[in-house]
Amino acid sequence: MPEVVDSPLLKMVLEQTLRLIEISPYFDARTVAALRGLASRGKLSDIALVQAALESIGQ
Amino acid sequence: MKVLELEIQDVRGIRHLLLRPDGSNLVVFGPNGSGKSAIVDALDFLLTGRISRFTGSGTAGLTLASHGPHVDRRPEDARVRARIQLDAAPRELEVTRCMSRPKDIECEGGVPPELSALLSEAQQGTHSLCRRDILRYITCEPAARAAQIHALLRLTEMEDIRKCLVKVRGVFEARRKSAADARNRSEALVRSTIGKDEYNRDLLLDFVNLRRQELGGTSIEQATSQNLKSGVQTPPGAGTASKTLRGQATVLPSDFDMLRRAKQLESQRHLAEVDRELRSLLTEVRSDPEALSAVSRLELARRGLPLVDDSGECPLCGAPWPAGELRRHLEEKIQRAEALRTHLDSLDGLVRKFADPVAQTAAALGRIVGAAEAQGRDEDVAVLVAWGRGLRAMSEQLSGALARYAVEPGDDRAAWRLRAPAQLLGPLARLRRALLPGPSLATREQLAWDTLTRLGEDLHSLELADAEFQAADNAFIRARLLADTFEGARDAVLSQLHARISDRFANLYRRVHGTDEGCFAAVLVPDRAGIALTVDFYGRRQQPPNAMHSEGHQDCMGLCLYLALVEALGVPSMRLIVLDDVVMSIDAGHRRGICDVIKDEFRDYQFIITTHDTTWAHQLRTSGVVSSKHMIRLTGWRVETGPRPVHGEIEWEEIEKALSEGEVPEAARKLRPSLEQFFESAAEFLGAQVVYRSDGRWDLGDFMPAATKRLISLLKKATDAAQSWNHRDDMERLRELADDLGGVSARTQAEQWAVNANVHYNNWANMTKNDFGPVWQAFSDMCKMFVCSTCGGMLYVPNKRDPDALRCPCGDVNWNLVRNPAGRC
Repeated sequence: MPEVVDSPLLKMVLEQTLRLIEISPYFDARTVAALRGLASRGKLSDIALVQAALESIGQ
Repeated sequence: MKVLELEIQDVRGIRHLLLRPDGSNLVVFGPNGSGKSAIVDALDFLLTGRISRFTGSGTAGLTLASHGPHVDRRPEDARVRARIQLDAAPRELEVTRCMSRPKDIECEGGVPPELSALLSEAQQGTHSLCRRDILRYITCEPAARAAQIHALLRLTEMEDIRKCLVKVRGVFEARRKSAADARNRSEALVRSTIGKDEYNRDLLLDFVNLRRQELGGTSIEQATSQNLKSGVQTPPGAGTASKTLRGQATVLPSDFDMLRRAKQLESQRHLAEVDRELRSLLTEVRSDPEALSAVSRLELARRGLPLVDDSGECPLCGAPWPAGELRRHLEEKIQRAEALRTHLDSLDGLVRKFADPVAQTAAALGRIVGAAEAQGRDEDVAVLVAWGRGLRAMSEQLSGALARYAVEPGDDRAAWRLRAPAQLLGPLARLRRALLPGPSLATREQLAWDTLTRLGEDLHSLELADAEFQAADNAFIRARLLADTFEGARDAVLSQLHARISDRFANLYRRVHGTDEGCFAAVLVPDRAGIALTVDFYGRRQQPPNAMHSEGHQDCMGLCLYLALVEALGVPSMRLIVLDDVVMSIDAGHRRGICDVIKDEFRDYQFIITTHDTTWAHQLRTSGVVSSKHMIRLTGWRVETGPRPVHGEIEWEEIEKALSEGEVPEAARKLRPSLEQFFESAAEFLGAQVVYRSDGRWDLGDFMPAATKRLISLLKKATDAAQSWNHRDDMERLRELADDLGGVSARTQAEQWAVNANVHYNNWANMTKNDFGPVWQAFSDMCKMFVCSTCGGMLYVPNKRDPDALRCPCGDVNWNLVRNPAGRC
């Protein structure tokens, strides 16, 4: 899981979140991969990057 | 991490100090201003490159470079070196940090990843607690407590992510709303062009096919902006461009009709009524921001409800709920959100009633202005352009009305005047005459052609707006799901965590205050952006922690909460806790409880404890938290030399040295209070009966005989028990111990005048070296009878009323006191 995330609690929350959106019909594999990438780089708090990841679908 | 050795050079009030905790607990004690906090600062600096004491409010002007080094030294002189053992690393490491380069830590062979992780962890400051920090946990607002706890639990990043996801959800929601409004406006234009109040596929097709029929075309099954005029005959004179002046002219009458309708009093009264309803509803909806938040998570709650089974377990995180509780909780949440959702739907309907005529009027106005400007009618156009600006402003307010629409009471008439200025009549009439040359010029075919041309433009706008809405809708759904899922997962994890911390905190507190608050309970719950803490007060009701409890109780709560939080970090690599004078307000009895908590509940941690209170230091030693070897007393501080460290608790070596130098008063001054504290603890640990004194001024003459009598009695009991179990070796050893104790006890009483002087021990200072030597030796030997020779911890009985064993902290001494029921004495 997130390599740069040092809080075990945060890791747990991110794992649960990503696991749930992975099985959601609203998310394609590419978007999930983009979000996983952001999570693993500790960039999920970057608004511009998260927006870009969510907008990438269907573009 | 365990600290094996710590060397401090020219830091704060310390010139040079070498401490060797050897990975064990360390107690540093001494009077105020003896350099204890400088040790905490030095360790803080080594681990973080900063001194926390220099940060926060009230520290303006304090800098590491100016105030970190000893007052007579420079930053390059100030350094801290430590030998440490990491849990994850196989070998010991030696690390050094110098104040001239505070960001760099030196480690032979480079900084290994395990050390980097530890230093990163240390940046959170979780390893150190001082009394100032305690107040942040207990006597503070929920938001400040949350910030402190989140920082300690390294949840700040989690909160940053949550804020980001919520913000992204908000951005996409606003975009979706804006796209929906744009689509509604485009749809309103189509409805205006086809002359219907509703819009659907059949109505559109009927309208289109009728015009196509007039132009000799066949019916189509689906109308798009591209196929309205496909296969129809072009009427004579019709241009191919969609925006010819002629094309505008034939359909402009409907635009003038639109403006006329907007200006009608009845229409304006209707809009004023809608405006009033809208304001009223918005006032109600905006008054409940929590419900608004619940609406945004309605979908998550709806999706989660069917997944809750009879066990009641949370389907998201597996958190246990009492049977049926989670289902009830979700149903209530959904019910509340749905009630507000109904309000929001009504709001959408009202906005629509307003926005449609505004959009249609603006579109008609735009076309008339375009045609008028093409004919150079600038004078008449001015009032229309100003009206158009007002309509656009109104349209913006309506788009995102929940946040933007003004609800302040004002002149309702101004609202509808905005949509139809009084001075419109003249210019509009002149433009109508100028722009509409007369119906005879427009044939039915021409009108049908121009109408389809305009409809094509309207449909094209609608198609684009629809596509944009779909994209915005998809993005919003994803953003909402992501934020909701994250918040749901966070809430689930944090709820479990808070419950665990509450229980652990209450548990630790009960261990300390078991005798007076055995039923203590605590509740730690999220409170909006904060964390609320309430505690039980003698079973009456839950109160804020600073409402009823004393300052000492609050300090104890802060310490217990901190320890519970540190434990909740999971498996930290740090395992080092620095307690800097944190028990000032806690009485001696409860401090013993804290000793038990540290000793029994946090065995895997290394504690470095500073205190100015010799009694507390003594309690830590006698309860087995720290060995005599790791007791450091700081004394004799001077600015030029810093403190002088004295190792051990009762300074036998120091006393012997003073005695050898003929300094009897100095030796007596050192021995006297130490013995008193020692035997007070011994009496407490063994459950000895001390004669009650109403003035509370017990001294050595009260404690020592009581403790000695009790130990003799316990050894006798242990001997009887060993005999009943036929444990001959134990019997032998116990008899030897009893004999030794009797002998040593007799020696302390050998010289009756000296024994009398024990009671009035101030007289010791008047003795000669030869008088005092045997007294000192007798007491030194006497003290050894009450401690374990292996761990140095004091002997104790676990159950003072009905003791079943006599033990020491390490377990090396463990005498059974219970006789074999079948055995003989």
